[in-house]
Amino acid sequence: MLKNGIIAFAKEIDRISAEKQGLEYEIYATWGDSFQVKVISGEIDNYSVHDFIGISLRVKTDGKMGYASTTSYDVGGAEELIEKAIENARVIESPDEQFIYHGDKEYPTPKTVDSSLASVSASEKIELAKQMEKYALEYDEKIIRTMGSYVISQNSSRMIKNSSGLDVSEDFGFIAAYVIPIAKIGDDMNSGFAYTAGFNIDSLDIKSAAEESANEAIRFCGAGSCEGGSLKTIIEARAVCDLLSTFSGIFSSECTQKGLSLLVNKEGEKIASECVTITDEPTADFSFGSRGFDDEGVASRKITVIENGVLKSLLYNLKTANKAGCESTASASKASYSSAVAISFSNFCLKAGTLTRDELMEKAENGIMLTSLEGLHAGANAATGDFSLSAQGILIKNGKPDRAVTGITVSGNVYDLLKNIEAVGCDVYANPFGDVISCPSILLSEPMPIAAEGE
Amino acid sequence: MIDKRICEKIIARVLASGADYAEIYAEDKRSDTVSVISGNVENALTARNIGAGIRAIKGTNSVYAYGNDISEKGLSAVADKVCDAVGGIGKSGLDIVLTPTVFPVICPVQVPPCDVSAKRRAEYLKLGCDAAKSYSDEIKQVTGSLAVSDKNVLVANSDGVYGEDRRAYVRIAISAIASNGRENQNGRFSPGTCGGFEYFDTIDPVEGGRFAARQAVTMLHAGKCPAGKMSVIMGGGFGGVIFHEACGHSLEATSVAKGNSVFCGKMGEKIANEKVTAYDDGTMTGQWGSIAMSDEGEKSTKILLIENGILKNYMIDKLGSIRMGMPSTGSGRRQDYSYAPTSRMTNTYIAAGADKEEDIFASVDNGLYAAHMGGGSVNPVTGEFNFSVQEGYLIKNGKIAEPVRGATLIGKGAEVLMNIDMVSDNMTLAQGMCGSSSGSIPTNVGQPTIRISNILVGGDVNA
Repeated sequence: MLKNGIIAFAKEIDRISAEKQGLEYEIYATWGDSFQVKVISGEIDNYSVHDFIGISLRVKTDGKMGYASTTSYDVGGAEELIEKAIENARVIESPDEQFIYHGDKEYPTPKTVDSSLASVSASEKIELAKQMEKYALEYDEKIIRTMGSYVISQNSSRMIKNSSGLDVSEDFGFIAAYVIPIAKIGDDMNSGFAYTAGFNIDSLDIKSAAEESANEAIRFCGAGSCEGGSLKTIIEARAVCDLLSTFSGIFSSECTQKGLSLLVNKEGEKIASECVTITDEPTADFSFGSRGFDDEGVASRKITVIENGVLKSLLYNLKTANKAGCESTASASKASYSSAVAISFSNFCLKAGTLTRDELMEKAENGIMLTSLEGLHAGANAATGDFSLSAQGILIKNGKPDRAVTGITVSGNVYDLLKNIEAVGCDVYANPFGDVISCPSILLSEPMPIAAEGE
Repeated sequence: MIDKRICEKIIARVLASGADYAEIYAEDKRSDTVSVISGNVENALTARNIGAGIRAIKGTNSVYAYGNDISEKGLSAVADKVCDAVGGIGKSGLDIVLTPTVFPVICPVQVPPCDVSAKRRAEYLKLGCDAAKSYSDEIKQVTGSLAVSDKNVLVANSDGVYGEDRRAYVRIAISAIASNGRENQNGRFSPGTCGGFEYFDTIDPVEGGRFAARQAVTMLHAGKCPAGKMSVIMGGGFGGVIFHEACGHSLEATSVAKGNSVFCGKMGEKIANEKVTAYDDGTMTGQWGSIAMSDEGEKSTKILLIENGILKNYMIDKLGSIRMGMPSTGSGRRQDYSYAPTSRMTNTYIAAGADKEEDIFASVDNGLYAAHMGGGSVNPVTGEFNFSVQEGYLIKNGKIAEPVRGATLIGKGAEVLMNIDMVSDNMTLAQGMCGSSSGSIPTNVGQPTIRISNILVGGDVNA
């Protein structure tokens, strides 16, 4: 129903723009529905369902692009939307050439929907959340309760139609479950988190995820600090994902062209150690970042960003590629339907190595394995690459895990860190939420400065 | 926005499913943003966002559904989803009578911000960006944005409320990057308010642009901050982010009702140094975090949170009130209709004390002056927090010495409150966006200049 409304709205936009001497335009629309349930102590604490719709219009007039968006597909609003977008286009001064894309001959069609998901009932999802909480509570008596056990699912569609004849759309559907158990030991309390996600209900492993989150809550409950100093460091896969996704903007040509990344003119140069290979992989089947086309309608393809330490390509959209004299890497992306086109990874992959986490620890001998980094939105500066973050970790003694430590702070610079990766593990963690990213654990060659309160 | 009779019908329909409480929240929002980069207007966007959410509470549990169609038909479809989840569609026949509720205007609008042309908004922003760029040759990039929005909010609920609130917001943000080719440092200026475009008559964009540029250049020439425990003096305004993150969130009903806050069951007890008195005040005239009506249709209030170190109250929404058995403080807020409301902050600050700023500096032999803070985050269970220092200086022998960068403040909320042992007499507020389970909302943080006697500073262990 929403789709029909959007198509009718698009027709009206097309009719009005034809009257305006062939105004160039693009309609970008998203719509869908979502479900979320939160269970605490076996009861539904919160239950939420919704439909959503968003239509964004871009128009190009005198070479400048203006935007206007709406949540209503009432055709009566089409004229005003166009007028607003034109008013906005008229104040643009940026000399960059803008594009309404004519489309590609062929588009990849990665599988992003499993039809069985649509038939999963609300009560099945509620049951799943209850069961997941039970697994977490049963894992250990130190788990006293949870802050919630969640199941979320979403079906969404994305469509781009424009005055150059482009007309593409695709659907996406996923389900995910996570639980936040609280462990209590003496007076100390601590929470844990782990998730399971997939494209159908059978791909969820709620037991493993519940146990992993319970284990994390217990492991760091009442953990002390350690002596500060420079320590040989492993960063565990999940923390690598958090760290690198925070800094993924440094690979955007938009950032280099604006002087916001230090990778300006570094293509072809060695910017990381040999063992670092980073790719963007938008075309894999049943992968969270997959898409057949980017947010300007350019056909997706795999991009090698860093190969064995050498910067092969930054990420480009049509505007920045034109400026740099190269092709778009199909990396155009909008933060939401109403945002301006920017650039991001669709599925950031740091290539895995061969060493297991135990082998990485043996190699490190003595030091620390950082398991989580907090405060990334505050303590990490994308423009400078500097970070200073509170962290949790496990001390490594004679190549074996020793005790858990918390209340420590690590600092460094991401550009330096890329050069100091001595080895990558074979243990890949994939984060499907927000910026989709998958990374293995890494061992750093240079000791990392760690500030701590002392034991 | 929605006729009273339609609201009455919808609320009756939801109550008939067995709910104890039913509520409609609807909004119609316009927003306009212009952004400038490298001295040119780069983007100009306009958005219209209309939608409504319906919530039911039964016992201590809640059901929420929303959609973009606020016609009677659209609302009925959303209501049916809520009813399904609560207990099915029961017999109607309940007679709901809503009373139009008028809330005071606390954030008046003289110049509706979305009526101001894109051209005029862009010109104002460029004044600030140009001033930042011309401040120094070391300023390599300046980005700026000017965002204005104007929304009407309607709340109707089974308590009989049928009220509306207008909320216009205006904010400018200028970010300057200083670079020497190897390293970048940034500086920022980002004031705003809840009100009309006339706010910008009181803000000099040129001065603001220079402020951001000066901060970036200062930090480019700064050495690395040493790490370790030390005395820290925090400046006023955005320095209040420490209280917001490390204490404010733990005083929200969301955190307290479930027993997850370190301040649970501490009412009437000493949780902070006796120098600390703190408020959350949504009723301040023309302030960024102010709301006349809460997003649950209640009147916003001024809440005394801590008085001379003693915990006096929490920030409580309707559901929190049911769960805690305490009266609501009118603290229910949400980003928009796509979120169910929960207990949130408004303008949250440590009140002015009796100490003089010069005495506070004179009292520190060796320490850090956090003149301007960046953002931060906190683990609500453990109270552990992390804040970045945007602009910091060493303090030597009671005097502000050289600038240092890369500093973060790390600690536990409950501990740092005890260690705030000097509080000056000059409180100022600063604007921020606070993210939580009901989305991102405008909040003010604030404090006078304060001294924290012993806190872990994350920096460079070799510096």
